[in-house]
Amino acid sequence: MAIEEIKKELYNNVLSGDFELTKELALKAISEGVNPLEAINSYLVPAIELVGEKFGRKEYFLPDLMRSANAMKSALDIFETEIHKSGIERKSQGKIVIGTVKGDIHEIGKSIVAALLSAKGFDVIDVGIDVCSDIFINKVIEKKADILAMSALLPITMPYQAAVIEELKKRGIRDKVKVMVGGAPVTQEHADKIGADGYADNAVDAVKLAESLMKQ
Amino acid sequence: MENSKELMIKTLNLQKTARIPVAPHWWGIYKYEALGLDYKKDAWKEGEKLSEVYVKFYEKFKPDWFHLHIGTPKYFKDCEIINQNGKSYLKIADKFRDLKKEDKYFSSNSSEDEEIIDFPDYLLGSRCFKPKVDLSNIKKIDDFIKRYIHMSAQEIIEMGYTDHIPQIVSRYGKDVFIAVHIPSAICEIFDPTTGYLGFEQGLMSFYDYPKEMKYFLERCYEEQLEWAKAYAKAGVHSFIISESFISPDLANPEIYRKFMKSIHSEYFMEIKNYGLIPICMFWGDAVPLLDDYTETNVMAIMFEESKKGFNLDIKKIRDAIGSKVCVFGNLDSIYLLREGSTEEIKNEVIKQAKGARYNFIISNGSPVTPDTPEKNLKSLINSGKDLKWQ
Repeated sequence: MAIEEIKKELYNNVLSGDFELTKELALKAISEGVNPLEAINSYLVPAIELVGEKFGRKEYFLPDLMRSANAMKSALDIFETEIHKSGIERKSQGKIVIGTVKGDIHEIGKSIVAALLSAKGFDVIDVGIDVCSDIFINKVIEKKADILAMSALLPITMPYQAAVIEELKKRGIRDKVKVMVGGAPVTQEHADKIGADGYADNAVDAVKLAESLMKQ
Repeated sequence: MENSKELMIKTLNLQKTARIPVAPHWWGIYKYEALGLDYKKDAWKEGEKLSEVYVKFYEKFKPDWFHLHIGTPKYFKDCEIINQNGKSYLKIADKFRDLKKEDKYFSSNSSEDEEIIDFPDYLLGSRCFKPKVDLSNIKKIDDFIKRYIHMSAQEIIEMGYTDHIPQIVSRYGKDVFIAVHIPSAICEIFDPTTGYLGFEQGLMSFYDYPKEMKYFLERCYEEQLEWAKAYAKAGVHSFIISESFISPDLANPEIYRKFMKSIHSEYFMEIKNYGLIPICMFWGDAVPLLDDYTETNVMAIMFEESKKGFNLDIKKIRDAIGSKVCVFGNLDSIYLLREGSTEEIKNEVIKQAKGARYNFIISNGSPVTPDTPEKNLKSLINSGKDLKWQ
């Protein structure tokens, strides 16, 4: 398979969400000498962005998004390992600690946002689900994170996003980290009310929001 | 004038009534709060005590139905709630450990299964970490169901899951509509943490193991009919399931059509055969599948409130489905019922009833949430009861 064809197929298989084939193509790309940075930026990222757009237009559904995110991640891991081996640093867009708040075990939305952020070059520290404020904040401090991203899928767990922000204030580090919130019941109104720096309606917008917060 | 039971049954059978019935979601934790009880303590640990909670709540608010949840197994009695690493667990009393082993609803492959059940407080003990199914072949699925899921109606009754019902039936069964509302088999399979597959694996299985997934779903729904039989024997009037996780805002509507529609049709028909009224709460964006839902033998559909990704307007829903099934209202439980004024609630009740036009039951779109002012719930119920069909 010619290099150009490998690149095109990488793009197509992220779109179709073929995990095994995408992984295989990534390995092939490396063996054929494809620049891993170029593969990420020119093929994986545009493909996953298109997936996000299709999801927004309801042409794709959550299983499609998940399959594409998994496929992309399989290739991303291979390319990043290669970049690391070569001693080149992939320029980080910023460090983000991300998790689902305490009392809430919903993972998928948060994981998709994390995968997209990672694809876009953010250094993502995923602290998982059912996360208490201590874990969020300690991780922010330890990693010197630029952004803290919190997800909540339940109306009864939304208030915990506010509790974490309050705790950041108490510890005197609220101005050291940007806070973004999301999740099915979360709205811009809620984000404003609890003093978050940003809110995104979906995974693609969450990446745009993170990029814009990094510029502030 | 019809009593509450007659009113609900006529409405569900698409007949005319004098006034519009009001049946809010009150199967969740709000009932404890409204009665000044701590749900984390002991009010739910025995069927009889649970029954008292329901009766007190009913007497306080007088809606047109009892909206009961799945119930409580006998072995929860005398259990202790312990905290480990910030999480709550139920420690089953020694005398009930043998009984616990027989309960497949709380079956788990955890080594500590015999004495401890994970108890996230918002789940109210209705779930635990279930074993994971291997869909690689039909025999494995059959073995799994036999080992971890199958309970006969008699076993369900003996386990205590219907113990909250008899007192309510004997006292109110002639006058008030009594419904049990339980999570559907899909919920048991797809629950992100506790399900037999989990959410991500569940969705992927439609693609990776289509034949086996369909078979597993069929078998799980078949097994769940035992629960309907048990509640029918206990004397309830209706069996409600909550369908979630594969709504069209999450999964492609074709998944529903290909995997679930025929299962639902047979399932709801069988529930009717037990003398129960089948009702389904279709969570998420129901609009793309409205026609399909109405073709499943279900007698009424409950909808959640509009969310930022979809709009569930009762008038539009009525326009779309006509008189095929009864429709429940979907007042917003958070931004209106909890945070709105009594006047705003009354106005929305009137608006939804006008939009629905007929065969409509006033309700909110999801369980009443903690911190909802009592006056707001009363406004929903009383302003609804004041409404008559023109």
